Amino acid sequence: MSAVPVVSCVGVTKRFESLTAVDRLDLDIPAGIVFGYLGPNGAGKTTTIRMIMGLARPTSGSLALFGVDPASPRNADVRMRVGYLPGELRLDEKLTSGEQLEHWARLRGPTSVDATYRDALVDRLGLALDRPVRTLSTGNRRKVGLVGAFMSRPELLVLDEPTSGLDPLMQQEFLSMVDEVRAEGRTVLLSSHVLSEVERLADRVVVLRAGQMVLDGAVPELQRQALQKLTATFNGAPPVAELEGLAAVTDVTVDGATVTCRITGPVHPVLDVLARHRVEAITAPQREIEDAFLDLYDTSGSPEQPNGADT
Amino acid sequence: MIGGKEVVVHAHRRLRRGALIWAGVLLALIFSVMAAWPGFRDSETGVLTDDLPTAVTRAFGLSDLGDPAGFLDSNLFSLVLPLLLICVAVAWANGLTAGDEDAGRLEVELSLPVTRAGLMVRRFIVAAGWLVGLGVVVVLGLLVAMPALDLDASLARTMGATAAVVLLAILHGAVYYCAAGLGAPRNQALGIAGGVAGAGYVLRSLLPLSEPLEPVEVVSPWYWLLGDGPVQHGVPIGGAVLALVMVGVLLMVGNWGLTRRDIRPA
Repeated sequence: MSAVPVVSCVGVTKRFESLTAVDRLDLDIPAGIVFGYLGPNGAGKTTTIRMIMGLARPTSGSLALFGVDPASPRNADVRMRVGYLPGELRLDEKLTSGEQLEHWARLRGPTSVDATYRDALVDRLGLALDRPVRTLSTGNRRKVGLVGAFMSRPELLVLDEPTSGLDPLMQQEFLSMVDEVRAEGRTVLLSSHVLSEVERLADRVVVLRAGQMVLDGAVPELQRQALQKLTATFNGAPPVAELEGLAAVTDVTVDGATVTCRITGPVHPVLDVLARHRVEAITAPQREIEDAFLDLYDTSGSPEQPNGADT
Repeated sequence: MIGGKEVVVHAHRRLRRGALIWAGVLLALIFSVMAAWPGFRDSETGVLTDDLPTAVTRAFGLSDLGDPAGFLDSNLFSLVLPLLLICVAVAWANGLTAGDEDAGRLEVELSLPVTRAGLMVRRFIVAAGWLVGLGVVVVLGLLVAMPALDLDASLARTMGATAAVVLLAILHGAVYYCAAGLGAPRNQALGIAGGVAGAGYVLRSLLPLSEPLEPVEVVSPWYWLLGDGPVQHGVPIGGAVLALVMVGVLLMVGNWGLTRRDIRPA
């Protein structure tokens, strides 16, 4: 495996007039991992991906794909190593699914696609190759895009909201496909709103907020960042004042004899309080990536961009 | 470029059906216009137009209607045929460049190992090839209609006039290509190409109605290629060369812009 990062961003900024879509992003994606790229609409995920694909240029900073500038016409061949599924996939309405895939395969070159592997993908996703693209549902169009991205066995897969519109069975099939890619030592850049999907697949996660990276780490680290929720039901009046008095406790809510709170630090002071009262039941669910994600956004209000554009 | 042949084949497939329809339209136009020739030949139209100022007869394509070459210039090559072929050229350039970009179809296409300029120039060349094909259809239509209706005009000049009209259309397609390459969305690029076509026609045909404004016609592509009537007086060679150079310059400027800007997302 090459020591050169598959993707490298150094101080990458992208501005659209007064809007800063991506702000001084430093990022390295090593080979062989599934890289989760998270953030709400307008955070800058799609803009970053489009710069990686050479479809947009950074306003400042430098970006390299397999060590070269992806936007330079001299480096068009580097895209032979990449499979891309855009968030907004638009197909040629005059073609059938099969013709669209053939067209993409020929643009990659005559020997770039293993027809057996492509047909296996088509079977797995249940795609009808003879159906005109214009008659396909959103989910089936997505399947065409997925087969198109995977079929050349690229070293890097760049997938922007890949399961949008897919039914749960196909979502499971997609997870298996990504697992196989990882097992083969290839790299996946996965941008998704489906946090469970990222949690299940990603080796490393970066979270963007308003164009800036707010978190970069492995999924367990992100889970550890999530505040621990705790729900306790008392036989009698709950010790609300005592819990609220603890520095590590936030968001205390009371529903009859049940108290729910979030714990930001060590748990033992909370347990000490609970031990002094008659607790009937305690629930402390496993920390989820979704909680960490929401916590990150709760701290600074809406991260949406001013014009609401999907950047 | 990897996949260059596929770009050509795919663009060809996209235009084929429309090209066949346009070929039918052009043949219908030629036969309907030519059907009027016996009436003009036998009428005293020349007497009527002789009394009009030269500038007016030229502006409205009325010169020498009783003469075979004048009839062809007036009824086909002065406005109708150029206008139709310019519409075809701009529509095709739109479909293959800014129209495709605005529809979001370039997003995947340009993520493949193709260069932007390589993709777009090949598409433009395919469209230009189909326009030449339409020119051949026009010539074939005239070859059938002229002897059948006893219209005795120079075949070489008629073919030259057709080539000039095709080149005029390609030039306007290149104007669209340049605007789209520099980043104009489809409506803006359509406006620019349409504006150039309209302004070119006005500069060549209407402004010269005023004698002091007559010299401005030299900046019009219509004047470069159609001169004072391509069948009557021949196609100005210098103008044709200038138009070819302009096509090359417009393509280069379009490619320069295309490779330096962002591709618009869907």
